[in-house]
Amino acid sequence: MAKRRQRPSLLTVSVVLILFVVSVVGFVLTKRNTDQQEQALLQSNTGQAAAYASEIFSGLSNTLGSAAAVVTTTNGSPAAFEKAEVVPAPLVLLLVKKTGADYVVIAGSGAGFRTGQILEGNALSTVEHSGAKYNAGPVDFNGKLSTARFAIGAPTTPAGLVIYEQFSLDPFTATPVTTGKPFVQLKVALYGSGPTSMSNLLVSTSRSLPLTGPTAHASVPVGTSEWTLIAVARSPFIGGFARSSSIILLVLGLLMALLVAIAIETLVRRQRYAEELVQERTEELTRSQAAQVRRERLSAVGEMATVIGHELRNPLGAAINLLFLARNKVVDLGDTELNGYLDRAERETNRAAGLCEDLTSYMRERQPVFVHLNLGELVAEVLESTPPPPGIEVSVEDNGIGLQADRAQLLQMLTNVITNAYQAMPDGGSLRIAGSESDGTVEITAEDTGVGIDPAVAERLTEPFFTTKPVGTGLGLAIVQRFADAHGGTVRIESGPEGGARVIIRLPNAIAEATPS
Amino acid sequence: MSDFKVLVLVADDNEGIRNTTAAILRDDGCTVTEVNDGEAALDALSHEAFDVALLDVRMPKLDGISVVTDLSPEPPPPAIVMVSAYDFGPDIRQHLGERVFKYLKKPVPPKELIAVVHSAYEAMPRS
Repeated sequence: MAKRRQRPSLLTVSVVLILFVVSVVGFVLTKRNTDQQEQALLQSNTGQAAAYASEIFSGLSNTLGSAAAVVTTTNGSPAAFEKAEVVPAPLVLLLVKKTGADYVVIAGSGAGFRTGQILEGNALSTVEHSGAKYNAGPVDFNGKLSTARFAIGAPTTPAGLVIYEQFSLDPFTATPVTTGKPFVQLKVALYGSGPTSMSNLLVSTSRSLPLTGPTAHASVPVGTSEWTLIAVARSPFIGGFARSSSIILLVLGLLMALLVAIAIETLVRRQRYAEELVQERTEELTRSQAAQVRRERLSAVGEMATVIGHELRNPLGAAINLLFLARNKVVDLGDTELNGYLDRAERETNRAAGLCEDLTSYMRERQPVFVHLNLGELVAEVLESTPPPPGIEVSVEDNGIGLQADRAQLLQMLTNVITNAYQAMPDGGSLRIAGSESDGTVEITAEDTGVGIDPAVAERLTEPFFTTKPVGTGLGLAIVQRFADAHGGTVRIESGPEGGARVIIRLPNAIAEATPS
Repeated sequence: MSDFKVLVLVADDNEGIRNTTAAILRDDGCTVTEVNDGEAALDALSHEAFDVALLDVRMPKLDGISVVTDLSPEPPPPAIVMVSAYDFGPDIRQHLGERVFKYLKKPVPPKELIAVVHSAYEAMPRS
């Protein structure tokens, strides 16, 4: 059975497509759902963390509030301020007085500032925006430390006086802001007011910033200002399995599609194979039966033909001899009428003898004896023994072809083909016999200008006992076919280009190379 | 009738062929002896001298090929012409070689028969 690459069946492709689409849709829906749940939980946790951070910074309100109370009570006395408000480093707490357009430090504690210093930069910006409730000034990160600034002013303090506070810290060390309970499940980064950039960072639990992945933002109210908390989940809030459920669903779906596809395709191919096998076997059986019938028919016909062919030879021989003897007597008597009868009787008995020869030739089982032959010489020999009838011209283009073949069988083939051509041209015509050789095959073509071939019977012309002629055994071309077969060759009979018939005998001539003449 | 005095043995079990062949050769001037089986042919060839022997291949008692192989060298054997309804030509030539002058297939045209007998006679070595 011929093996060939099979395409998947339409059924398999359809089922796989449907399952694929269902899997992908399921994946998308599930993923969207879990993402939404995850985001909601992250947002909720981030909100809690922001509230917690805000609560921690509300402690600043107390520090600044108590310092304001001291300033109000002492009517802005620097000495009293320095006495009451001593803070440990890295905290800075200053009493600042507005003098014209400048803010001048008049008392305070903490590194980096001195009495009489005029505030500049972020510190100046912080005190300029001070009011009754404390405010947070710009946060800045210099690559090593982050600094946060706060201020409170009139009317909580006497007019013209502002209390300024600042602290610095390494943003990546643990602080109460990042170690509280709400932060356990989060990675967070807290930025001051304005854009969430590294220069504005206050604290972070992760060194790789900005935070990536699904993030949540929450505002952290610090006095009158608002800082921003950005958070990502350390591990999915909805659980690792739930988080992976969509991809698991997709993989399972695709796996199922694959399995179903294999199962369907296997069944489809089995069925297809079975159908093809049945068809092939049926065809084989039909062919074999036809061949068997043909063999049996030929065998029966052949046996009969052999018996007839042989057994008729003796009585025919005797009849021919008797006619010969009778003719001698008639010639002696000079009876011309009787002579004519004898002529006809001789012709008929000779025809009968020819029939016997055809029958035995066809049925003779003999392997060809290959000898080197010259096609031109063989054709000449046939034309000598079977000369063309009047009105028929024969041309030969043998092209000096030599071949390995059985001499007797090739002579018989040529005789039969040439005789056939003569009989196809009762009113005369021309016969062209040509030989050629290519690729180790010798081709002998006999082309006549006779009555031609009826395409309907062309294929049957080499069958034994098939004839379209009123006279003939129907064995001539069958013998040609049988001998060509024995040589491993072929015979083709077709209509000629200008009417008439063309017989092409092809014989392999490979032996010629191995057996030099 | 010619003056062709040739001694011919015709061995064939088919009476029709044998008689008519003999008649044709007699008409041609030959002296013909007829036998209808192989043993009789061998016997005749052992006791009489012939110029040409026409032997059918298939005969009762002894076939034509055995007649040739059993022939004794004395008296000198005649020119042998084998005749058969079967296409034994190539096999007989291979088996008997030069001992057979000619192989003829039945039915033998009478003119060819006469011509072969003539040429067989002429090809015979004469002492």
